[in-house]
Amino acid sequence: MQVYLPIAEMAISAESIFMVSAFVGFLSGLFGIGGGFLTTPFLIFTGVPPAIAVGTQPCQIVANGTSGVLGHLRKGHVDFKMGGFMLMGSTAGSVIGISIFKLLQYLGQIDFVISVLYVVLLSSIGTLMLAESAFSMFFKKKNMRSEFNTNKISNFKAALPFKTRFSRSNLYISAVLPVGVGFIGGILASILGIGGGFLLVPAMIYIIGMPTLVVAGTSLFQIIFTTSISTMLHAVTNNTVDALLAAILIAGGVIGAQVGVLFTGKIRPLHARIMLALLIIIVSIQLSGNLFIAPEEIFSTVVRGGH
Amino acid sequence: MRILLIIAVLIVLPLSAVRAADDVIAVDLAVDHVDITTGFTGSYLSLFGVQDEPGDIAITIKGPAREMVVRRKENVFGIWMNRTNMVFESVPAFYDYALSTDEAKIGPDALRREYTIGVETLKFRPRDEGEDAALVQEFQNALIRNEQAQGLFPTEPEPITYIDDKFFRTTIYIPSNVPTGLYTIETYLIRGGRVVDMRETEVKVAQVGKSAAINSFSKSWSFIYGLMCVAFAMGVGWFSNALRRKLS
Repeated sequence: MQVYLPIAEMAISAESIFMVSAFVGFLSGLFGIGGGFLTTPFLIFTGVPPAIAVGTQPCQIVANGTSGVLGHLRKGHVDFKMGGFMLMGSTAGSVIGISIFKLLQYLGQIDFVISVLYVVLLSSIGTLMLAESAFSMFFKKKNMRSEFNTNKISNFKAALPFKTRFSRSNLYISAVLPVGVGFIGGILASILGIGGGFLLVPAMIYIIGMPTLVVAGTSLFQIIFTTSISTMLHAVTNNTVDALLAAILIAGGVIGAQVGVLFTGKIRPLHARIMLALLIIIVSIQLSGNLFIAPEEIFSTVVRGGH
Repeated sequence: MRILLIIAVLIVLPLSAVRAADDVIAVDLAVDHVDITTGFTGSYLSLFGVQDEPGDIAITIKGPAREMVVRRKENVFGIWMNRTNMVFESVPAFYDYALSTDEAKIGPDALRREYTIGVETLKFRPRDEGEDAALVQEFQNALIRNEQAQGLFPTEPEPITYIDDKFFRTTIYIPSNVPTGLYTIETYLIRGGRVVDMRETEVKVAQVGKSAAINSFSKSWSFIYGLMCVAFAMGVGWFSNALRRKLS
């Protein structure tokens, strides 16, 4: 069924958008990721203007995140203080990120920067995850975190000011760390139109050193606010939030996530991590084609001052 | 069908097209507006006309003018990225044309260029002065190619069909990705390499109903609109979580 999007000013196939968001929702239920990094490139691929895709996607992550965080909240797996500090950084980061987005759009380099960021981030994170999973599979060890945590980074971390106690995470660390991680996450999230969970989760584990148990809930808690702010900023400054597109994405995502959660108990966590790592690597290889393969049409056109 | 069309023309034309004594052609649209609703997937625009004198008919339709940026990707150290760009002023957002005869027979090139009959007669002015002519031509061709790929420019003329030797009609497809605004339709009667008579008609392409309401609300109340989007998303998220707990 073709549906006309009032803000994007184009008709799209509602089923295909719904199917993709349901599939991504399934993965997000299964792996506990937001999945923005999969949906946004797909939307752009189907012809939705990048600005609309990046502006609307955060709205869908708000729905996914709310649904997820409530579950973690009930189990007490959210570190509000840590989340609050991250939020300070990510709010500032979002505002700056949206300005960068507008500047890059004006310069005509937004697609290029989005592709480069995706390829660099996804390929490095995918490779790291795969390496870690393979390592723990072959050596039958739980993980590499214990060794990773106690190396040189901790010396640098110890030297940072504003030491704060985070009782939920059982940490006494500098507040600069969560604010900094949130800030970088906020910039990337608003440029890429994603929640940034796939960046925040490793950063919270490896850089901040949070216990795995509270990482997912805390990152989701923080992501809800970042993406809400991002939705508001895109709606007010760029008018690029398409309510109808958001509704289709939310509907698909919510239904898919329910199915995904049902499968979580049936797959071993290690296998799930390997699958997710492979998926991330495949997406990054796919996207790197945009950069390295000579395009059939080297010219592109956009409306000046339009979306 | 043929009879119905003639009846339609006979009813529509005298009612709406006020014809002075020296008018040689008269044209009218079956519908003078294109309504974009939530279910809009494109629309056919039917134009009827009558000619009192012999000659060929050419019809052009142009969407609202926009400023377009054309960018060219170049290979920089193995990576393809946009390097050169050119801004063209007043490029019609949509262009299509219909002819009653072959493109070659409709009239001399000078006439076709003057009245922009045919895609290759379109000339766009670069915003910046003193651009290299060959480069401008290359970018302009690329712009036309991209517009054609999006279905906003035609690759060949639409046919004009005659119901009898005076009444003619044509159908132009308006795709779903056209921008809203006022579209201008020009109809020319061409004989002996000259335009004998011409008519201008306008079509309003606009969002209506729910679609229009959402669009205008998002612009005039953007803060509330954003809040509503966020609230809706949180509501659905909460609901899905409640549902999951109920089920498990």
